[in-house]
Amino acid sequence: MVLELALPTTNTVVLARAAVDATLGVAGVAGISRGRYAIARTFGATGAVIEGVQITEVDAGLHVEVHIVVALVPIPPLAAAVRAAVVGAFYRLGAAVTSVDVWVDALYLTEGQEGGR
Amino acid sequence: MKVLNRVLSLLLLLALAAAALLTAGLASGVVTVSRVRQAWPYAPIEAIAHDLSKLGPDRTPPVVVVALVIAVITLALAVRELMPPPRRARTLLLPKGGQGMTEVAFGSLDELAEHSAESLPGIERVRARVNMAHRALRVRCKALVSPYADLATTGPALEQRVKEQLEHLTGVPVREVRVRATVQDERASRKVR
Repeated sequence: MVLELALPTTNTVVLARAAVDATLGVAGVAGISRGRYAIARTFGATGAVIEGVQITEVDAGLHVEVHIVVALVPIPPLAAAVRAAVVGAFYRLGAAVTSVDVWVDALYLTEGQEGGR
Repeated sequence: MKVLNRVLSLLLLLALAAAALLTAGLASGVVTVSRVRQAWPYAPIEAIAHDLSKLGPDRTPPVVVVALVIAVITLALAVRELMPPPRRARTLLLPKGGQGMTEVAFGSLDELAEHSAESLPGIERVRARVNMAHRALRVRCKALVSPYADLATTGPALEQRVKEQLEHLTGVPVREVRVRATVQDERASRKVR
Protein backbone atom coordinates (compact mmCIF):
# COMPACT_ATOMS: atom_id res chain seq x y z
CA MET A 1 0.00 0.00 0.00
CA VAL A 2 1.37 3.41 -0.94
CA LEU A 3 0.58 6.27 1.38
CA GLU A 4 0.44 9.60 -0.39
CA LEU A 5 1.14 12.72 1.59
CA ALA A 6 -0.41 15.96 0.45
CA LEU A 7 2.49 18.38 0.01
CA PRO A 8 1.88 22.11 -0.38
CA THR A 9 2.08 23.35 -3.95
CA THR A 10 4.75 25.90 -3.01
CA ASN A 11 7.50 24.40 -0.91
CA THR A 12 8.03 26.95 1.84
CA VAL A 13 11.40 25.47 2.81
CA VAL A 14 12.73 26.07 -0.68
CA LEU A 15 11.45 29.62 -0.52
CA ALA A 16 12.90 30.18 2.96
CA ARG A 17 16.26 28.81 1.81
CA ALA A 18 16.14 31.16 -1.18
CA ALA A 19 15.34 34.06 1.14
CA VAL A 20 18.32 33.20 3.35
CA ASP A 21 20.67 32.95 0.36
CA ALA A 22 19.38 36.20 -1.14
CA THR A 23 19.70 38.00 2.19
CA LEU A 24 23.23 36.76 2.83
CA GLY A 25 24.21 38.03 -0.61
CA VAL A 26 23.45 41.61 0.36
CA ALA A 27 26.52 43.65 1.30
CA GLY A 28 26.30 44.68 4.94
CA VAL A 29 24.43 41.59 6.13
CA ALA A 30 26.73 39.79 8.53
CA GLY A 31 24.45 36.84 9.19
CA ILE A 32 21.00 35.44 9.78
CA SER A 33 19.59 35.63 13.29
CA ARG A 34 17.20 33.12 14.83
CA GLY A 35 15.17 36.00 16.27
CA ARG A 36 15.89 38.01 19.37
CA TYR A 37 12.65 37.59 21.30
CA ALA A 38 11.07 34.61 19.57
CA ILE A 39 12.60 32.11 17.21
CA ALA A 40 11.59 32.70 13.59
CA ARG A 41 11.40 29.40 11.72
CA THR A 42 10.00 27.92 8.58
CA PHE A 43 8.98 24.29 8.85
CA GLY A 44 8.88 22.02 5.85
CA ALA A 45 6.64 19.04 5.28
CA THR A 46 9.62 16.66 5.41
CA GLY A 47 10.81 17.95 8.79
CA ALA A 48 13.30 20.46 7.43
CA VAL A 49 13.57 23.68 9.42
CA ILE A 50 15.01 27.00 8.26
CA GLU A 51 15.74 29.45 11.04
CA GLY A 52 15.66 33.23 10.73
CA VAL A 53 12.98 33.35 8.06
CA GLN A 54 9.27 33.06 8.56
CA ILE A 55 6.84 32.85 5.68
CA THR A 56 3.13 33.42 6.11
CA GLU A 57 0.53 33.05 3.41
CA VAL A 58 -1.75 36.05 3.10
CA ASP A 59 -4.55 36.72 0.63
CA ALA A 60 -2.49 38.35 -2.10
CA GLY A 61 0.71 36.32 -1.73
CA LEU A 62 3.38 35.70 0.86
CA HIS A 63 4.47 37.76 3.82
CA VAL A 64 8.14 37.20 4.63
CA GLU A 65 9.94 38.03 7.86
CA VAL A 66 13.74 38.00 7.76
CA HIS A 67 15.89 38.27 10.90
CA ILE A 68 19.40 39.52 10.31
CA VAL A 69 22.65 40.54 11.94
CA VAL A 70 24.13 43.58 10.23
CA ALA A 71 27.51 45.25 10.03
CA LEU A 72 27.93 48.92 10.91
CA VAL A 73 26.21 50.24 7.80
CA PRO A 74 23.12 52.45 7.39
CA ILE A 75 20.12 50.22 8.06
CA PRO A 76 17.33 51.77 5.90
CA PRO A 77 19.13 51.25 2.54
CA LEU A 78 20.34 47.85 3.70
CA ALA A 79 16.77 46.82 4.55
CA ALA A 80 15.62 48.03 1.14
CA ALA A 81 18.34 45.94 -0.52
CA VAL A 82 17.35 42.86 1.52
CA ARG A 83 13.72 43.41 0.57
CA ALA A 84 14.60 43.69 -3.13
CA ALA A 85 16.82 40.60 -2.99
CA VAL A 86 14.13 38.48 -1.32
CA VAL A 87 11.41 39.68 -3.70
CA GLY A 88 13.72 38.92 -6.66
CA ALA A 89 14.54 35.43 -5.38
CA PHE A 90 10.86 34.63 -4.82
CA TYR A 91 9.95 36.00 -8.23
CA ARG A 92 12.43 33.63 -9.85
CA LEU A 93 10.73 30.76 -8.01
CA GLY A 94 7.32 31.96 -9.17
CA ALA A 95 6.06 33.12 -5.78
CA ALA A 96 4.38 36.47 -5.21
CA VAL A 97 5.48 38.49 -2.19
CA THR A 98 3.24 41.12 -0.60
CA SER A 99 5.67 42.38 2.01
CA VAL A 100 9.08 41.65 3.51
CA ASP A 101 9.67 42.66 7.11
CA VAL A 102 13.32 43.08 7.99
CA TRP A 103 14.24 42.61 11.64
CA VAL A 104 17.70 43.74 12.69
CA ASP A 105 18.23 41.59 15.76
CA ALA A 106 21.89 42.34 16.32
CA LEU A 107 24.75 44.44 15.04
CA TYR A 108 28.10 43.04 14.11
CA LEU A 109 30.26 45.44 16.06
CA THR A 110 33.59 44.83 14.36
CA GLU A 111 34.18 47.50 11.77
CA GLY A 112 35.35 46.55 8.31
CA GLN A 113 33.62 43.14 8.36
CA GLU A 114 30.59 43.16 6.15
CA GLY A 115 28.72 41.09 3.67
CA GLY A 116 28.58 37.45 2.78
CA ARG A 117 28.39 34.51 5.06
CA MET B 1 16.11 58.31 45.27
CA LYS B 2 13.54 57.86 42.53
CA VAL B 3 11.40 55.67 44.80
CA LEU B 4 11.72 58.11 47.71
CA ASN B 5 10.65 61.00 45.46
CA ARG B 6 7.64 59.03 44.28
CA VAL B 7 6.61 58.14 47.84
CA LEU B 8 6.98 61.76 48.97
CA SER B 9 4.99 63.12 46.04
CA LEU B 10 2.31 60.49 46.64
CA LEU B 11 2.03 61.47 50.32
CA LEU B 12 1.85 65.14 49.39
CA LEU B 13 -0.86 64.53 46.81
CA LEU B 14 -2.91 62.43 49.24
CA ALA B 15 -2.58 65.12 51.93
CA LEU B 16 -3.73 67.77 49.43
CA ALA B 17 -6.68 65.60 48.37
CA ALA B 18 -7.67 65.04 52.01
CA ALA B 19 -7.45 68.77 52.77
CA ALA B 20 -9.52 69.62 49.70
CA LEU B 21 -12.20 67.05 50.57
CA LEU B 22 -12.30 68.26 54.17
CA THR B 23 -12.68 71.87 52.98
CA ALA B 24 -15.55 70.87 50.71
CA GLY B 25 -17.16 68.88 53.53
CA LEU B 26 -16.88 71.71 56.04
CA ALA B 27 -18.11 74.37 53.60
CA SER B 28 -21.10 72.27 52.54
CA GLY B 29 -21.95 71.21 56.10
CA VAL B 30 -21.34 67.49 55.58
CA VAL B 31 -18.51 67.60 58.14
CA THR B 32 -19.00 69.44 61.43
CA VAL B 33 -16.46 71.44 63.43
CA SER B 34 -16.95 69.19 66.47
CA ARG B 35 -15.97 66.15 64.41
CA VAL B 36 -12.80 67.91 63.21
CA ARG B 37 -12.03 68.82 66.83
CA GLN B 38 -12.42 65.17 67.83
CA ALA B 39 -10.15 63.95 65.05
CA TRP B 40 -7.48 66.65 65.36
CA PRO B 41 -7.67 68.75 68.54
CA TYR B 42 -5.33 71.49 67.37
CA ALA B 43 -6.32 75.15 67.76
CA PRO B 44 -5.31 76.49 64.29
CA ILE B 45 -7.13 73.61 62.56
CA GLU B 46 -10.20 74.25 64.71
CA ALA B 47 -10.11 77.94 63.76
CA ILE B 48 -9.88 77.11 60.03
CA ALA B 49 -12.71 74.57 60.35
CA HIS B 50 -14.83 77.13 62.18
CA ASP B 51 -14.20 79.76 59.46
CA LEU B 52 -15.05 77.31 56.67
CA SER B 53 -18.29 76.25 58.32
CA LYS B 54 -19.40 79.91 58.58
CA LEU B 55 -18.80 81.01 54.95
CA GLY B 56 -22.28 82.13 54.17
CA PRO B 57 -24.59 81.22 51.24
CA ASP B 58 -22.83 83.39 48.61
CA ARG B 59 -19.29 82.07 49.15
CA THR B 60 -20.04 78.41 49.89
CA PRO B 61 -20.71 77.14 46.31
CA PRO B 62 -17.46 78.45 44.73
CA VAL B 63 -15.35 77.16 47.66
CA VAL B 64 -16.98 73.72 47.46
CA VAL B 65 -16.53 73.56 43.68
CA VAL B 66 -12.89 74.67 43.77
CA ALA B 67 -12.13 72.24 46.63
CA LEU B 68 -13.74 69.35 44.77
CA VAL B 69 -11.84 70.19 41.58
CA ILE B 70 -8.56 70.25 43.52
CA ALA B 71 -9.47 66.93 45.17
CA VAL B 72 -10.21 65.29 41.82
CA ILE B 73 -6.98 66.61 40.24
CA THR B 74 -4.78 65.53 43.16
CA LEU B 75 -6.41 62.09 43.33
CA ALA B 76 -5.91 61.66 39.57
CA LEU B 77 -2.25 62.66 39.94
CA ALA B 78 -1.86 60.24 42.85
CA VAL B 79 -3.29 57.39 40.76
CA ARG B 80 -0.95 58.34 37.91
CA GLU B 81 1.97 58.29 40.33
CA LEU B 82 1.01 54.78 41.41
CA MET B 83 0.98 53.48 37.84
CA PRO B 84 4.19 51.75 36.72
CA PRO B 85 6.33 53.80 34.32
CA PRO B 86 5.88 52.90 30.64
CA ARG B 87 8.25 50.20 29.42
CA ARG B 88 10.48 50.68 26.45
CA ALA B 89 9.34 48.96 23.28
CA ARG B 90 11.51 46.03 22.23
CA THR B 91 12.18 47.31 18.76
CA LEU B 92 12.62 50.59 16.97
CA LEU B 93 10.37 50.77 13.95
CA LEU B 94 12.18 52.68 11.22
CA PRO B 95 10.24 54.95 8.83
CA LYS B 96 8.61 52.86 6.15
CA GLY B 97 10.50 52.55 2.89
CA GLY B 98 8.84 50.05 0.58
CA GLN B 99 6.72 46.97 1.09
CA GLY B 100 7.33 45.91 4.65
CA MET B 101 8.61 47.09 7.98
CA THR B 102 12.15 47.50 9.23
CA GLU B 103 12.64 46.94 12.91
CA VAL B 104 15.80 47.23 14.96
CA ALA B 105 16.08 45.75 18.44
CA PHE B 106 16.69 48.49 21.00
CA GLY B 107 19.08 46.12 22.75
CA SER B 108 21.38 46.16 19.73
CA LEU B 109 21.26 49.97 19.64
CA ASP B 110 22.30 49.99 23.31
CA GLU B 111 25.23 47.78 22.37
CA LEU B 112 26.15 50.06 19.48
CA ALA B 113 26.12 53.15 21.72
CA GLU B 114 28.31 51.35 24.26
CA HIS B 115 30.68 50.06 21.60
CA SER B 116 31.11 53.45 19.94
CA ALA B 117 31.61 55.21 23.28
CA GLU B 118 34.13 52.66 24.52
CA SER B 119 36.25 53.15 21.42
CA LEU B 120 37.10 56.65 22.62
CA PRO B 121 40.37 57.14 24.52
CA GLY B 122 39.84 57.63 28.23
CA ILE B 123 36.52 55.77 28.34
CA GLU B 124 36.83 52.54 30.29
CA ARG B 125 33.27 51.24 30.39
CA VAL B 126 29.85 52.49 29.27
CA ARG B 127 26.31 51.36 29.90
CA ALA B 128 23.83 52.96 27.50
CA ARG B 129 20.09 52.87 27.03
CA VAL B 130 18.53 54.14 23.82
CA ASN B 131 14.93 55.25 23.76
CA MET B 132 12.53 56.73 21.25
CA ALA B 133 10.54 59.86 22.10
CA HIS B 134 8.81 62.30 19.77
CA ARG B 135 10.29 60.75 16.59
CA ALA B 136 13.84 61.11 17.85
CA LEU B 137 16.24 59.00 19.83
CA ARG B 138 17.35 59.78 23.35
CA VAL B 139 20.35 58.13 24.91
CA ARG B 140 21.33 57.84 28.53
CA CYS B 141 24.88 56.74 29.24
CA LYS B 142 26.74 55.86 32.40
CA ALA B 143 30.43 56.12 31.65
CA LEU B 144 33.41 55.07 33.70
CA VAL B 145 36.20 57.48 32.76
CA SER B 146 39.91 57.03 33.27
CA PRO B 147 41.39 59.34 35.95
CA TYR B 148 43.90 60.56 33.37
CA ALA B 149 41.26 61.61 30.83
CA ASP B 150 40.21 65.22 30.42
CA LEU B 151 36.54 65.25 31.38
CA ALA B 152 35.97 68.59 29.65
CA THR B 153 36.74 67.07 26.26
CA THR B 154 35.85 63.40 26.85
CA GLY B 155 32.19 64.07 27.72
CA PRO B 156 31.32 66.09 24.59
CA ALA B 157 33.36 63.69 22.41
CA LEU B 158 31.39 60.76 23.80
CA GLU B 159 28.08 62.51 23.14
CA GLN B 160 29.12 63.37 19.61
CA ARG B 161 30.37 59.86 18.80
CA VAL B 162 27.20 58.15 20.09
CA LYS B 163 24.97 60.63 18.27
CA GLU B 164 26.84 60.25 14.97
CA GLN B 165 26.88 56.45 15.08
CA LEU B 166 23.20 56.08 15.90
CA GLU B 167 22.12 58.61 13.30
CA HIS B 168 24.39 57.03 10.69
CA LEU B 169 22.98 53.55 11.25
CA THR B 170 19.29 54.23 11.84
CA GLY B 171 18.73 57.47 9.94
CA VAL B 172 16.68 58.66 12.94
CA PRO B 173 17.79 61.95 14.54
CA VAL B 174 19.25 61.79 18.04
CA ARG B 175 17.81 64.55 20.16
CA GLU B 176 19.75 64.02 23.35
CA VAL B 177 22.70 62.09 24.69
CA ARG B 178 22.85 62.36 28.45
CA VAL B 179 26.09 61.22 30.01
CA ARG B 180 26.72 60.54 33.67
CA ALA B 181 30.46 60.13 34.12
CA THR B 182 32.23 58.51 37.04
CA VAL B 183 35.98 58.79 37.38
CA GLN B 184 37.67 55.44 37.82
CA ASP B 185 39.79 54.67 40.85
CA GLU B 186 43.43 55.35 40.08
CA ARG B 187 44.46 51.86 41.28
CA ALA B 188 41.81 50.03 39.23
CA SER B 189 42.86 47.96 36.24
CA ARG B 190 42.46 49.72 32.92
CA LYS B 191 41.97 48.72 29.30
CA VAL B 192 45.08 48.35 27.22
CA ARG B 193 44.54 49.91 23.81
